[in-house]
Amino acid sequence: MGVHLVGNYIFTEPGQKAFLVSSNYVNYFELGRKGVTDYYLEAKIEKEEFLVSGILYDPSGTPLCNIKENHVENIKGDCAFEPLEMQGYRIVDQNRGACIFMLFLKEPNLCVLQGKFYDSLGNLIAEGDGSDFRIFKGPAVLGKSGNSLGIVLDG
Amino acid sequence: MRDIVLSCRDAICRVTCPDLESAGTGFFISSDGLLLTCCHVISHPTIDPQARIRLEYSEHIQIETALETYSACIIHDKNSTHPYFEDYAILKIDAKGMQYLPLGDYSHVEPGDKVLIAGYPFGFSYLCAASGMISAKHRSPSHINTIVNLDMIQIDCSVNMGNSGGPLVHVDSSSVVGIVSVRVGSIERNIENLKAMPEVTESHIFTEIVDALEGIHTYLNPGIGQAVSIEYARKELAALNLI
Repeated sequence: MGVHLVGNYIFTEPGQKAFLVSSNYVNYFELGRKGVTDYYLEAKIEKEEFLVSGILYDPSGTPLCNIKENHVENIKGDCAFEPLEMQGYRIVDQNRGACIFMLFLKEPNLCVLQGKFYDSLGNLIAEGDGSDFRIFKGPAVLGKSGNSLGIVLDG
Repeated sequence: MRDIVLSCRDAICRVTCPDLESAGTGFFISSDGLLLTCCHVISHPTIDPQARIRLEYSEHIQIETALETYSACIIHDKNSTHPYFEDYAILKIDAKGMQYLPLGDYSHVEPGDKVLIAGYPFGFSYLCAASGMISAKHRSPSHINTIVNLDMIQIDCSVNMGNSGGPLVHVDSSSVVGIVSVRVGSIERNIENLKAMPEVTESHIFTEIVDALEGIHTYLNPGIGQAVSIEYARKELAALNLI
């Protein structure tokens, strides 16, 4: 199942802090489910800070690194961390020369998420670049306010 | 204040990386040669042939004490961005009987508390101390990379190039509560831009004016000193079972 979302503001408004997931502005984004799926990515805004956590795999299903509140941990040998000027970074799969994950502040209130997200079997879960974001396999959540969820995609 | 300076003096060292043309300050935290400094003193981003920016650590870190010069190795986790974003580095030299400074508690300090810094500004070969107070505690985007926010201590001491990596000593508790990391509000980049302008380089008068500005910037220190909370280094030290 492919989902194509464009230009939505989900639990956020123009001028407020938001993640830019393709061209959708969200206050929360979750890919997979922590403790349930082997892959996981969570992007949230807490106390006015962008916080991203997750587990990244390469196309062969090999773990590349963990992301813990924007910090990259357990960087494996095939994975390179590259700072982006002073406003973010990207993680590159050195074997394939491909950007697996990119996180950067486009503006003080706008954090951009891009990348190719794989599971431990090498299946492509989601893919996003500057113009599009496709989720191939749920579960996923876009937007959250307290117990209210925005767009929910089941697995 | 003299007693505190004298008690700290032998625990503070100069950190140089000839391969990176970098120098700063460090301080010992154990008698067997464990020390802290800033990550940016011992590393820098480089651009590879594919125009990719990578973080490179020095391979020749030298620690200069009053008596001897040592080679240091990096102890912190290089497979994590914590040291890079939080601007700390954990090093080790092969030595015993070193004077060292105790680590304090960032949560116990408040604006108005007296503090002391000491280091090797401007590449001086002698230790320079400066005193002041905590102007503010705040959480702000890291000066290394704004994607991460840090707990910082703003001080009114004179902080200059070369002070990076030095201890921020809380006078009342005689312990280290931060690592001196950055001077903000500097006009260094403005001066560099001016020096690159043909209108300046081709004019004797403008060159004199820019040189004067550079002198004012260097020696009158327009800018605000900041230290990163010691808790980031402490967390990794604990994870490594070093404290």
